[in-house]
Amino acid sequence: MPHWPEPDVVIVGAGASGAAVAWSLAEAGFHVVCLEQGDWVSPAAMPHRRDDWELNRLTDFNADPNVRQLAADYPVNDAASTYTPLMFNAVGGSTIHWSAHFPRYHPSDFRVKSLDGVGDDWPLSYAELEPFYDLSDKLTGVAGTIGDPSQPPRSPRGTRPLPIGRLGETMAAGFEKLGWHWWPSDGAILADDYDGRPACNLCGPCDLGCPTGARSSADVTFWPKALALGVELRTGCRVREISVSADGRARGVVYYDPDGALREQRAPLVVMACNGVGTPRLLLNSRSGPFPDGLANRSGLVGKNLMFHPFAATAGVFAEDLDSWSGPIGSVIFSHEFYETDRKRDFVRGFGMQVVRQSGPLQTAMGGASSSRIPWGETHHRVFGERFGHMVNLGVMGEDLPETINEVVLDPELSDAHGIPAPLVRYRLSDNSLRLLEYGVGRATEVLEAAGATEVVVCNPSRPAGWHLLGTCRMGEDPAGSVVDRWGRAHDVDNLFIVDGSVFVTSAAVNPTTTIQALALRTADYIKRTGSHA
Amino acid sequence: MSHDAGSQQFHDTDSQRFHDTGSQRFYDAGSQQFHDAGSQQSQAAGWQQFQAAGGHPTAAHSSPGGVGPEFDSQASQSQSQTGAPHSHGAQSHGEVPRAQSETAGARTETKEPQHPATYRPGEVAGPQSEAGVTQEPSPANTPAVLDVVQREVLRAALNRVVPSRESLPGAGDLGIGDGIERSMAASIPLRRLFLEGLGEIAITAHLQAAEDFRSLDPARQTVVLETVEQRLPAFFAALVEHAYRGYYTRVDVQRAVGHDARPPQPLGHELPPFDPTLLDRQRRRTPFWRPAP
Repeated sequence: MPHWPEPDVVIVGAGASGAAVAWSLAEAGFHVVCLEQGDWVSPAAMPHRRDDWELNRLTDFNADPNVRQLAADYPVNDAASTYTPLMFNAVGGSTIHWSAHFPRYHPSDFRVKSLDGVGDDWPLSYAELEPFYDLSDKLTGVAGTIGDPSQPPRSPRGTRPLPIGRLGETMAAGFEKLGWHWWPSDGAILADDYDGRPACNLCGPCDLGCPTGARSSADVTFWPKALALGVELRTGCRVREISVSADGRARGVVYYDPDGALREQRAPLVVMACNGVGTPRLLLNSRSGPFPDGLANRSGLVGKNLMFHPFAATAGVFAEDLDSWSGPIGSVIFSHEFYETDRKRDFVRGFGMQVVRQSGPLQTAMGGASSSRIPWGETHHRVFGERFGHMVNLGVMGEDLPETINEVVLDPELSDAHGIPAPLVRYRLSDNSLRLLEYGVGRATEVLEAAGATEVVVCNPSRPAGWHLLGTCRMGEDPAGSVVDRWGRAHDVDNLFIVDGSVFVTSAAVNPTTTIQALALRTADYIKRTGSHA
Repeated sequence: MSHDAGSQQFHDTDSQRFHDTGSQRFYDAGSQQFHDAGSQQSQAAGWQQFQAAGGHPTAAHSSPGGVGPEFDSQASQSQSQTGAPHSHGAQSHGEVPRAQSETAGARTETKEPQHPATYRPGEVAGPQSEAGVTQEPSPANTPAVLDVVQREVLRAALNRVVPSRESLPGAGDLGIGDGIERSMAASIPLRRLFLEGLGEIAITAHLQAAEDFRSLDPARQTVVLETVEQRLPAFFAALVEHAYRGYYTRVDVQRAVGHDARPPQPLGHELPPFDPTLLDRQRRRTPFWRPAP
């Protein structure tokens, strides 16, 4: 098996976390190789200039790899999962089809065991992560405004908030009427020119890619900088397993190159950045004498404690035209009125509400986020007319808590194009999550009606909502109760680091990419300070 | 591109899309050519250039400056340079993946694939995993999957799923069935689903009314379809979804329903800037986040 000269580090995965680590280490002079099974997504290949652009949401830009079935994808057996795991395999990873919410964790999110007696505390605090949040925000480019009373003070945002439009203003009035919190979303989408990239022209479908580069996906933020520093990014390279030397340390990675040839890339340090499904999949597929149950899995926790976010989709229909298909689909306004635990409720922890736009006519007809397809037949045109441009989506996203029964394992039968076993995902909502969602749907209905909705549509749970893949190689101080330490280093393999959402201890109730990137930059900083590659 | 074909496994035996990484081809009606899937071509080409460049990123991986892909301001230029047909409405989704002989049997006219020498960014709009529906159905590019009667049943059913409105006829009379037939040609499971469903519509019409579905009045056609929706929900969901796909991606329909009937780019949309005074009351609120050590 041929192998290439050794770099200092090999990173598996070129998404948000792999890109951040590649940039940070390269800046310190490390020789970095990154292997990515996908390719660059050319802006010219995005559908935004075509009249039938909405078809791509249902086909090759669908967020579900089982629907998309591109050559860069691997199948996921999700038959036993409440939520469909969603991801994108390309340079930039899932930020390619990302609606770019960019919130931070709250301080309490790191201390759920101490504060509420559930889940586990993180082995680090908000204060410890804050400098890396700031660094990540600066490198990413974040629209927003500071002063939000629901969260600690934070560094100034990179640009102004994005416009919220009639839709956002209508919902803001609803929140105000009830005396509830709302705030413009922090969005990784530029409202002004920033760092050589243009301001967003508010075209809408961020989930189909961003052809202007205004949305801060990793292919336009960290990657250009990392490549300029000399990082070797090899696309079309699918890693099969992490190889292990006789002393039980990681030796490198074994991968199929674009021609299908099996290669080994050795390196003194291996960094996994393949998301909360891909990373446990590869570790479980890396079985050897010292690690018969998968690499770094002496705790038996690789693949366990999978968390998504409990999610329900609600939508309000308004009499007035809210022009609700104009503007970035995801980042409008949010509310954290019910974010923290309130013992008067019948669940612990909390949830956020996110106002999300409609998209074009096809998505309206298909029902969009609330999956409420417009009826066929004689009533079709009347109902379409009532909804198109008149609908506001309001997502209810709660905190997930770790449970070992929610897991990623290797499928005994299903495999990808290279014969690598596919992941099998088992996930079900806990009783706490079900109660949280029921309460959250009630509050969402209340605020939609306060804002003037004449009809509220509910989809609870909303199955195609597995955007956030977390917890499957959890971080902790105790090697028996966690897979990696507080720096992301595997307890069992001292030259193996994990930097994606796998390491999350709890999910909080916010979108995770902000925290994934901050943790990745923190891990890279640790590697640089300690010379872990030497 | 080769790999260990012996190890390939997948749950859907009808689909080779995760496996057959070298064999996907897509028909571009604009250039009248078949193309290999863009991502695979670019991966292979990029890898060769990568190796030739001694392991440094090249244009196939990044922009000419070596720091990322080209963005939209350049994208339109590169399209015109390659002659790729990306004018609005001209691009067809009538892709016919893989072996045509697999999909339409002896009735299909097989066209010899012509491979471009190299992948040119912007030439194809990503490898569609399932054929979509064109704005301007082109019978010449439509493999015959349905016979005349089946095609007319489909047309009549589509007219009931999305009836006529003001100046527009129903979905069937708009030709949405042509796109569905193309999708059927590209997908064995979809073909199976639709052939069974169209048969069920015909049988149900005879059982309920002792008449051909096509000759029933609209109200009785609707009753038939409601029955079929109960009996074959998967087929009916596919019928409705494909009707909506075809119907709402037509420019004339978009215009009729009040959309601005243009793609998201290059113009985007205009919205007034965020008004910070909307937050005055929120800013006065006492911080209520929960401190934690």
